[in-house]
Amino acid sequence: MTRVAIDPITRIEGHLRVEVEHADGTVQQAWSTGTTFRGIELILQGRDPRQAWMFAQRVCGVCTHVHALAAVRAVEQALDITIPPNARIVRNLLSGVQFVHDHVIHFYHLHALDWVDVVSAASADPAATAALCQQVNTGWPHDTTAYFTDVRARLRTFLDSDQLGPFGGGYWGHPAYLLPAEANLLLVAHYLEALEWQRDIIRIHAILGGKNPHPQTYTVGGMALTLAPDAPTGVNETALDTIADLLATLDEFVDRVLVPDVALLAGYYRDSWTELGAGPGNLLVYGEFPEDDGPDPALYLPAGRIVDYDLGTVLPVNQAAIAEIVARSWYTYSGGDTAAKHPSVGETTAAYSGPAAPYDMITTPKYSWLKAPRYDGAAYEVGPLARMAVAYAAGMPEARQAVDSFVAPLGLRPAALFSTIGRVAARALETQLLARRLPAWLTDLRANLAAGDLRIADTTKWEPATWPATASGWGPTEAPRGGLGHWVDIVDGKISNYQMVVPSTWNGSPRDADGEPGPWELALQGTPLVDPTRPVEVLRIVHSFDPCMACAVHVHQPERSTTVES
Amino acid sequence: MLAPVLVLGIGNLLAGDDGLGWHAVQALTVEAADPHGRTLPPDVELLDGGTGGLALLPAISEAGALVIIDAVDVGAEPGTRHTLVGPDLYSRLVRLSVHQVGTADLLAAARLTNTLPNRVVLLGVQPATIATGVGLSPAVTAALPRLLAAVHDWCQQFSSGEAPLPRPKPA
Repeated sequence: MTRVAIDPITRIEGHLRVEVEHADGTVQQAWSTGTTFRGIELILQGRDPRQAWMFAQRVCGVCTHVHALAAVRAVEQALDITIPPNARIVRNLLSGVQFVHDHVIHFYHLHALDWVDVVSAASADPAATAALCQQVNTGWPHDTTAYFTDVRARLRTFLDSDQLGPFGGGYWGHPAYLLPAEANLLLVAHYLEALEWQRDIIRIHAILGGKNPHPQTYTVGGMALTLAPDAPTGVNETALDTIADLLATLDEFVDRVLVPDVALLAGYYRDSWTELGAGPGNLLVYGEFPEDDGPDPALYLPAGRIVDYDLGTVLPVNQAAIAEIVARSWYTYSGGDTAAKHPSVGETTAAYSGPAAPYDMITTPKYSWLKAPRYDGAAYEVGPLARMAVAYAAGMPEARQAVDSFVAPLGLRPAALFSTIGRVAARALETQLLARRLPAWLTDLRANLAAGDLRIADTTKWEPATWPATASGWGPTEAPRGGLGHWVDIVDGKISNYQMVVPSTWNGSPRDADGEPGPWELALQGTPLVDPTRPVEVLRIVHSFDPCMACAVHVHQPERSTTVES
Repeated sequence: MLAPVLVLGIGNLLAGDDGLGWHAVQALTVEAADPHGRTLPPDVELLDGGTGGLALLPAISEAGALVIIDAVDVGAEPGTRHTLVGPDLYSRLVRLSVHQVGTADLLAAARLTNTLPNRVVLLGVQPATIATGVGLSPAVTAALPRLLAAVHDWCQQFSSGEAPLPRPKPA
């Protein structure tokens, strides 16, 4: 039995690390570790709840806006504030754009190179690549031999320099890479095109968020921007036209490039990767994108739970059933570490008991700075797979059509969603749904403005004097990488307790008091490793969850030790 | 249209000295608003880049020159300033920057898309701690005035001296 450490680095949410133990070329057990204490909750204690979002959005550098959204929602729920329709729509626009942007970046820039061999791409025949592009990405203009000749030349220049950047340290030539050279070049070309494409899309955040990254326009009660169709500044007709133009470009790239590229990849990796990495089969979705303004609004992506891979039944979500356990985490709880505490009574008392750095392996009973979130005591996966599966099982027509038309040509059933490729596909299909939905929200906003409704924030409860002496609330949202919840307690106008349960805590959870593994840990069990010194299979599975990080890999073997950044 | 000199502060406000970029941009912003403060050339733009990663590409692609402020780990005494310029910057950044993945990937992406300005400098300071917490350590706080002076120097050097034509500003 050999133990291998995958030590991914992130500066965003803290470092994450995975250790796997393998025997006979197969992963037997895995341990997921958050190696950095976050403690954002402690920073927020004693602060003005109206400012919580400004700090909270800094917890994650990738999706800055979703933490702001969860934070204002938690405070609004605590203080019983209903935001105006325009604020709801602007939040949907910001969040929807974040999803589309983030999902495209994730596929091409954070995950594709686990499947695409860049060195092979540099040897591809441009004419064959053009032919493949015309067949796969029908109607996409960049499909000529000349174009792919140019891309190949740019790639070769880059690879010949000593500054490989994102292409440094990949497992190029690994036998687990299955794409032919022209498919590799096609996806590298789209890697580059996606870099330019995302640059324009994210401008919508600068318009509606004031700036990007770290939007400035959130406020408890709504949004802090001026809706003024006829004014020279603020969100005027010109700004709305710009957003409309940008939104109009979304679905063409998604329909013609992203989704067909993922289908191409799925075809080549169908044989094992539509089964490997299945995960716990329990899926949790808070839901997102309210379509109306009631206390219990219809959500474009519905809330719900799937249990034990059963796509036939959607169960309700009750946030009271969520609890966090620190039995295997570097915290202590008043009342004992085997307790399960709801986030509203959550505690953040650090108690490190792991090995002293530097270390090779973490073999202590407690092994992570992540707590173990559980729903009714069970581990749940969150993210695009969960959202598409719940939407599918709930009968959402667009989701059923998208999933069915993706799996059918591959000869698969919808249950193939429960896999590594299924997770990648769900992310692409969700991108497609949102790219098509976003223009409708802009239309709704323009209709409101045309009808003279310029309200953007309800400030009647802005002053703390209007608040009760004590109040508690929770702010659920969906981040691109999964369900996100903030819980806040307010006493005498100040935050007395704040807890966040973030998507990577659900998915990267350590074991609980019963020794039950978290989703990554489960997903990795049983994975064959073609070459344990280059465990690209582990990267594929962990990256398919879209953890809040980039990662470095350290492989430790008795006879040799290698370090690879990827 | 003249492309601006972009001063890009990078770092996580919640991670101690890692928030250097935010604190520096904040100080420069306050200074710019002070009638008695030093003035930056008219074509300089300040941006708190946070931990924005690839989302910063639009700003970089529109810049004519780039002054990056970032925490760098060179194993020196906390507060030591470290300047990376030209080819040195790209080859050494991955190893040095506390934000090794983000900043290096960002610049590589700009280079891949041919949008990286020719003139780039990274002004780094050795952090004392990047543990969770808001605020700079005494050592890095002490280094801040000289860092800001260096930002002014580089901006003068990179500046065309003319204000860029007004660009359509959303919102």
